[in-house]
Amino acid sequence: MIGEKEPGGISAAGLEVSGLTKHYGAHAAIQQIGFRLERGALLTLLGPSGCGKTTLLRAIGGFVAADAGRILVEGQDIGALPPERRPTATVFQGYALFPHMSVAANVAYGLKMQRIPRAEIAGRVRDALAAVQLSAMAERMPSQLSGGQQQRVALARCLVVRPRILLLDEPFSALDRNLREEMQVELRKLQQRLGITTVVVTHDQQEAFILSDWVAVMNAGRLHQFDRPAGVYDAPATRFVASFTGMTNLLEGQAEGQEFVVPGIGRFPLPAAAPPGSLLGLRPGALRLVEPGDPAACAVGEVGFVAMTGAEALCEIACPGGALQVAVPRRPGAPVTGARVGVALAEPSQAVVLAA
Amino acid sequence: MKRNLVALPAMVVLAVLAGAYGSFFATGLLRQVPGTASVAGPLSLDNYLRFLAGGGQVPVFLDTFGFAVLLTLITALIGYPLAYFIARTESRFLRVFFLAVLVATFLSGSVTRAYGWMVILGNRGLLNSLLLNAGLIEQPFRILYRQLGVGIALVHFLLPFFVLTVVGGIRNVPRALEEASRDLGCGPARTFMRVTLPLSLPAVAEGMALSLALALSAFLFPLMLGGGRVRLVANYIYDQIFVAFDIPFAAVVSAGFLVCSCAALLVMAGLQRLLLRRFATGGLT
Amino acid sequence: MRRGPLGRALWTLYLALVMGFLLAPVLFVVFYSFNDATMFRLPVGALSLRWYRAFFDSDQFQPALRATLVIAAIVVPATLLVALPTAHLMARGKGQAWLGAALTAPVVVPGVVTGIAFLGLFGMLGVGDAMTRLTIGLSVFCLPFSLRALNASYAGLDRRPEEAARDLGATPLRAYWGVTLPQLKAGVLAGAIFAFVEATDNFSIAVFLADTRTRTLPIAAYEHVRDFDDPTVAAMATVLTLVALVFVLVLEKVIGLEKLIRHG
Repeated sequence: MIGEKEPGGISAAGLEVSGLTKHYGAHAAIQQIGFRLERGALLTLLGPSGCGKTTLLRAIGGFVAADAGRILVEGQDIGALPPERRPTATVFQGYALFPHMSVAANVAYGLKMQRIPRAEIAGRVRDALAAVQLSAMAERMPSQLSGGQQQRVALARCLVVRPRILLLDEPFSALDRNLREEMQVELRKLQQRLGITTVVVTHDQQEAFILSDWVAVMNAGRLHQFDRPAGVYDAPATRFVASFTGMTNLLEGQAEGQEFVVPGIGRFPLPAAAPPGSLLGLRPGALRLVEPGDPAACAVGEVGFVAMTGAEALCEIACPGGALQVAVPRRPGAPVTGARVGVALAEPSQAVVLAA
Repeated sequence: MKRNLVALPAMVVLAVLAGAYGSFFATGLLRQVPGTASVAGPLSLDNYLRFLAGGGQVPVFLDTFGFAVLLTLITALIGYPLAYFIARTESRFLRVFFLAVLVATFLSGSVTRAYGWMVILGNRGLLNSLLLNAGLIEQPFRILYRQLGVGIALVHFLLPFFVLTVVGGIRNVPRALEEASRDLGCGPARTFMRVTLPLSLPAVAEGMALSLALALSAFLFPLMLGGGRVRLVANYIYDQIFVAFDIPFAAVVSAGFLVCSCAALLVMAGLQRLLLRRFATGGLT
Repeated sequence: MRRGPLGRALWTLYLALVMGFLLAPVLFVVFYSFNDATMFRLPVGALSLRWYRAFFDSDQFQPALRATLVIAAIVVPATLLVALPTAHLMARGKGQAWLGAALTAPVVVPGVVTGIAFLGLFGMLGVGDAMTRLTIGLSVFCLPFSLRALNASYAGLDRRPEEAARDLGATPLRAYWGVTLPQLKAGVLAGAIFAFVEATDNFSIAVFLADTRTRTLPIAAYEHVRDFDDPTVAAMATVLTLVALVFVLVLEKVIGLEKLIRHG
């Protein structure tokens, strides 16, 4: 259920985008983007660089004038407003802190623009800095802060103006892996506590899954799938979504009864009807290795390359018609290169039929 | 509407410039009223015809362009190693020191420098006094009031412009490229010739174009150090106004000069664009 | 740079020669200005401040110095007032490259040509006052120098803080005033210095716009050198060099000379 009932009976989403299109010359940066996001939810725009996700974010923030389409915040059309009059606040990539102002002055900036009384500004700045645990840094200059601290200042600077939409452009890309994971959790908790409708741009599927209520997967200016994280993972809507989220086995073949026959590789049980031209998508984790003669084996091949990825090992199984990637738990007796093995489905429901 | 307001000051200046350069082509169509500082009609092409027919200016034009090209080449030869040193020395002190000397020279003004060279190069100046005292020469060696003296002072004038332009170009050549070249077995000299120099050529062309423009328009230096004996176009024009009192003809000669200088600079700009396309360092500006 | 002993010696020799060449005229002029004698002669005689008194008491140089300072005091702010919006337009607008090229004309066009062009324009408009002619002419001439410094500043400018300001509710003008302009401080300073130096040093344009009563320092200096042979101009040159030195220190302190080059 997206959206909620307004007292007046009008359903108004926290953020609603419809038919949004932007061309740069002949190149379409975004085409016909549309979705509805309920209040207080966090949406990530996921896609490779150049897919249009940043253009979409900047269009919502008011920095890109769309050629067509509407942007509604809580029922109000903001498409014609300049950035300073939109109820949005952006954490820019690289944070864009004002280098010539202290942390406190940075955070106070938006309130000053709203002509809020000085005494109230001081209190709100203090609260905002406390919320991001930077009270001690108020008088520092941005250049004296670490990357993580700068990011928190940028966040505080946005939250202090109490925007109705919080926008974040690749907020964690400049941080180390450990700090990144810590900040992701921190952002998610803060966002849930404040109940603020939020849109995050990222190219990292892991980040998208950790943070989001909803994920919008984009490629080449188009919205491929708007879904819950689990929906994106378990039931990718298109071939692009499948491969972008790590579904590396995309097999071409034909349905024969309840089976999908992949020439030169094997036969796999079908979870659903597969019209001609369909692909069968299998994550490496949806497969397991068995003895070559095991009746469950769908394909038989030779172990090629083996890569350790942590708790699992990723094996490439060379079949006559191509290779399959299989993730297996690492334990004694794990397959070695050159061994002949069978490949079976670990869980039949994890196979996905994709339209070509 | 708001954009127009931002553009307004620039438009006013453009209008003044257009008016100035436009009026000056028109001045050439008029005639000097003898014995006064004013010009009057009727409009005629006489001055332009006189300029095109009379061969008197041709040697002056050729001299000026030849001299400017020569000075530009000398400046580039003297200046490039200095620019390279400033760009690549590991000592911050030396880098800032040399930059400070260049910027100070540049900011100290052309009158100061022209005058400095006058008192150094004159027949009774520092250089000749030193040489005479040392017994190296019997007669003062004449440097001033000939092209040599003007040339020395002009190279000195051009050097900071050239070097400061090229330093930026060399610094923009990523160090990693030089390191990659060394890593792949190329010696320092060959790395310089095959990587650093080619990639800095666009900046060299820019510096040379700037030097050429400044050398062509040199006026004060030939005036002070040439003593009327070094005849360049700028001084020829000046004489038309302050000696011959013929403003319309001066305007015509100026127009001819302008066309020739623009042609020379267009050639340089074309060369620069060519080099830039060939040796662009890829967004590292 | 690692070099062999021969390479090292050659570099040292070259650098010493170039430095000697660059510094010779300025150093000698400073020395000459303290020389008591009218003529230069070896060995050097007594030192005195005689030529400084001559410079500051002169009927020729006094009015010229005053006129030059008045002109600079008008030209520098006028130039910046035009350069700031123009640089903004060039950095933010689309297809404004021609604007920069057109405004840079006075740098590329020989000064004598520009001088005569202004002379013609002011003749037609009937501007008889030399001060007005010099102020307008030099403002237009100095603009490209300030513009160059500001363009360089814009090139190194991160645009996102300005967008952040807009995002946080600042109007375009407030965002410019509170966020963009403070970040351009270095460019404004460099632009002001360049405009000052060009306005006070220009000869080839100013000589056509001045008259016998209103002259700038370079013109007065040229005429003095033409008619007299004494170190008064050396005293003037030393004062100007001192000013230049102050500018270098300010630039190094506020911007850093290395940065100036990177974007210059």
